[in-house]
Parts: sequence; structure tokens; C-alpha cells
Amino acid sequence: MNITVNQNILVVDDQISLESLLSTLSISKKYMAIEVNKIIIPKSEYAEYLLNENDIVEVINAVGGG
Amino acid sequence: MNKLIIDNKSYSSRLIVGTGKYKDLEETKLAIEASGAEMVTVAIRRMNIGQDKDSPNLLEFIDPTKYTILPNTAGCYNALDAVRTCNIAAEILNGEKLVKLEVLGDEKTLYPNTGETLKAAEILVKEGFKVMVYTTDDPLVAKELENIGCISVMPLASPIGSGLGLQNKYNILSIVENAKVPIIVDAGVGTASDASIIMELGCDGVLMNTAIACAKNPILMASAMRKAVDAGYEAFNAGRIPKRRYANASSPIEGNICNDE
Repeated sequence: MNITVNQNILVVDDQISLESLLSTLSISKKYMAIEVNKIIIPKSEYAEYLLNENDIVEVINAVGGG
Repeated sequence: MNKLIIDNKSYSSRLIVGTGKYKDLEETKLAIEASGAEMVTVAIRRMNIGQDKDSPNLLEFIDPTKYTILPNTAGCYNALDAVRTCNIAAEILNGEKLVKLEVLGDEKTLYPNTGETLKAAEILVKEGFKVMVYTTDDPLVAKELENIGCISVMPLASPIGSGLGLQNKYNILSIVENAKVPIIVDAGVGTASDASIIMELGCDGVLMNTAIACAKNPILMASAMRKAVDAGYEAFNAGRIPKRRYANASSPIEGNICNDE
């Protein structure tokens, strides 16, 4: 199925969990946040949170700023 | 000297620094160390996935157990985007709810959109955020933000990144005199004397980024700013002499051997 991660379309397994998505993309869970369709998903729910076709995922972190 | 208290935590340094515009993370880290700052601002952005996988996360370089991390809402032009950004920041920082609210009005001036700033502040305070708010130098707006429950009001000295220094000294003075929360001047500092002038007015602190990060030698400028903020704060507490139009000799007149009749 297709999902959008940080504005890029990715083809992933059906019903992939957020946890598996992060591990596929080699993203550490430290100091980051995820929104799916503009709703923040708490880190404690990554393992059971399953993604659906056309979900829009934003992986967000802190960067330099003033 | 009294310490700066923000959200029940005391700070020896009255300088808050940003982490933007540095050459690299190493320079960011060295400049922050030289500045003596204990609170640093960060921005909230999409992760660069796939590009530079080995590049360290900013917060692995600037240790949140050592520094108070103040996430900003830079780039937000309405209240709801700012609230969304603050909620994401809290998730990134494991539930910490200290934020720097800035809702901008336009890209040319980066002046605050006052209406949206007030709206966002009300929502965030109700949601339990500890809001330090960037605002104009309007004393009435500053007081309104304090009344809403912001824990610090942060009026600009001049536009963000302009380096023009303090442009409306008397408004900042009015804000300081009327405030019961810390007043931290945010934005517009160009060089060390600008920071001293701000602190000499009785402000509680200064927040800056560009003046340090874009100096020819950021680490040296960070050190200069540390001294300038301390010097200004000490001078304010010491109490300056009144200004007078004519001279007042420093050496005694009595016993002057050159004035014999």
C-alpha cells in the first residue's frame, strides 16, 4: 500500500505498524514525534498502531532555531 | 545577584541563545558553552529522512539534561499552527511543556501577529503549557499576555535577525515597570552593547541567535554577549548616576597647587 512519510510516497506492507516503519527507515525514537493524519501518536502506541493506505505520516524533530 | 527564575527553575545566566544558523553542530555547541546560557531555543521541523542518516540529532549534541530546551513555534502564522507545534514539541521532549510562542505576521518583518499570538497564548495556557511569548514592544499587549498567564513576556528590540539593537527604549521600560513576570528582550540584538543597554533598563534577560551565530567569530561573540548581559545587569543593580549637562570634577578642588592667587 502507499503511505506518505514526510511528503514522500512510500510503498510499504499492508497494516505495517509505526514501530516497523521506523525500523525500516532506521529512525531512532529518541527526541522525535510522529503525527498520522495530523494526530500525534504517543511513543507508547507505536508497536500496536497500524498504518492504513494513504495515511500521511510526519516524523518531526528539533532542529537549530532561534 | 538575584537569579532568573523561569517555571520554578533558577538560572545563573540571563542570556538565552538560539541554535539556528550555525556552520555545524560542533560550532553550535561551542558557542552555547562560551555564552554561558543555560536555556537554548530549538525549532520544530520535519526530520530529514534518508539524507545524512548518520548526522546526529540536535538534541544528542545539546543535551536536554544539561540545558533547558525551549522549543519555538517559528514559522507559524496562525494560532492553531502554533498550538499544533507546541503539542508536537511536548511529545518530542517527553512531556516538557515549556515553550516559546511566536506567531508571525509577515515574512518581511517577522513581526508578531498580535491577535493570533493572544489567541494561541490563551489556548496553550489552558492546556497547561508554560508559555514564554515573543511579542511587539507594545506595553498594553505585553500586559495582556501576562494577564492571560504567560510566564514570561519577550518583546522585540527590533526585527528578528536585523541587528538593529534596541529601537524603542521607552516602550521596553514601560513594559518592565508594569510587569510581574520576567521580561526577556527577544530579537534584534546586533552586538554586545545592545545587550548591555537592554539589561541596564532592568530587563530580566536577553534572547538572541543571529548576533552570535552570524558573527565572524561566533564563539568569541558568544563570550562577549555573556559579559555584556552580566555587565548590564550589574550596572542596573548598581544604579547609574544621573545625567547632567555640565562637568563635575572628579578630583578635589581643595588643595590644588596650580590655583594659588
